[in-house]
Amino acid sequence: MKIKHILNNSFSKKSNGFSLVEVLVTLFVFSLIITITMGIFVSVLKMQKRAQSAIKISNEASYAMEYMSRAIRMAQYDENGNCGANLNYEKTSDGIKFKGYDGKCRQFSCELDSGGTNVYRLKEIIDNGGVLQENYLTSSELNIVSFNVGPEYGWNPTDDIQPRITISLEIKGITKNPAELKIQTTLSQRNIDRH
Amino acid sequence: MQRKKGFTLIEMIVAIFLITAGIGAAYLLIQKTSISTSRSLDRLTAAYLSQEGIEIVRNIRDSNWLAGIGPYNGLDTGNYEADYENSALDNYTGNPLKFDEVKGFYNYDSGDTTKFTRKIILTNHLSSDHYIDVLVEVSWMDRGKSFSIDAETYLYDWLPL
Repeated sequence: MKIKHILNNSFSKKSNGFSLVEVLVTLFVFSLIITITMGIFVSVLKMQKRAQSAIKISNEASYAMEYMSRAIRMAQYDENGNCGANLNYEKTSDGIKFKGYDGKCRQFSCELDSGGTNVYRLKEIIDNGGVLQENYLTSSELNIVSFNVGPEYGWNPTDDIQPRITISLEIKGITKNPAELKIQTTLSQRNIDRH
Repeated sequence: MQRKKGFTLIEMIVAIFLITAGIGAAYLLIQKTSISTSRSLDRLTAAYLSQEGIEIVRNIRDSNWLAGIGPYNGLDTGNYEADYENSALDNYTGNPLKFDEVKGFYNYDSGDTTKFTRKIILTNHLSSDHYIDVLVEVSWMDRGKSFSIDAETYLYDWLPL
């Protein structure tokens, strides 16, 4: 019983420290609080990241949709076939082309980013009298999952139908657990289609 | 008697309550922000869907002009639905729009049901003022709350055809 004697001597009587039980309880409570706090912190970070990508999507989608809508709405009948096949609008393999309000040929498409990121971006190509001007409409921090151009309804000026076109975009963030937007609108050409 | 050094139970409970309230409030605030951000995306989608409704009605009027059958043919007073693939309006059924993943379009025929419902309300003012009132309501539910966006335009018969 020497050990007990020592224990008694050194721990119980003149003890200024903590007992084993106290330390265990403290550790348990401490780790519990830390775990909960970290859990909350991590989920807050996740939410914040998602919110940020949602804001980015909202900004870029409204810009791209508004820009394309205006250009498409104000398109003209391509009388001389300079931009394609004498139509109001013409589908391309990955988008659409038409004669713009200013008489320049315009093209909207969805292309893999040339900067090396593995991301699809919306692109506008304007034909400035043979010189092609290329602009990206979305950044490389968002991925265009799909860009769709709707039914060829009234695109031929010889029919008695006002040209109508539907565009839709699926945009996703490139972070983990990203926000996503599926947006669509239909446009009726403003110039009355006379032949 | 031994000198009291620690906290009393009451003190501990109050402290824990305050910490919980603090963290809980911050968490709730961030969660609310996150939800309202995702709602702003719904709002954007709904706004463009309502624009689509108006443009389709406008397109029908313009096509009527070209066909020479009077601008408001098929645009009587009533509640309607419009599908991007259909040339004419359909009567309103209250069905939500679907999203076709393959084609990538909102429509009524194929795909998964979305939360958005679109109602096109046409009001004919032809006898008195020679225009039709086009009101498009896009409504949806999110986490038990209902939302809606309205867009409205007047269409006139201004083209001398």
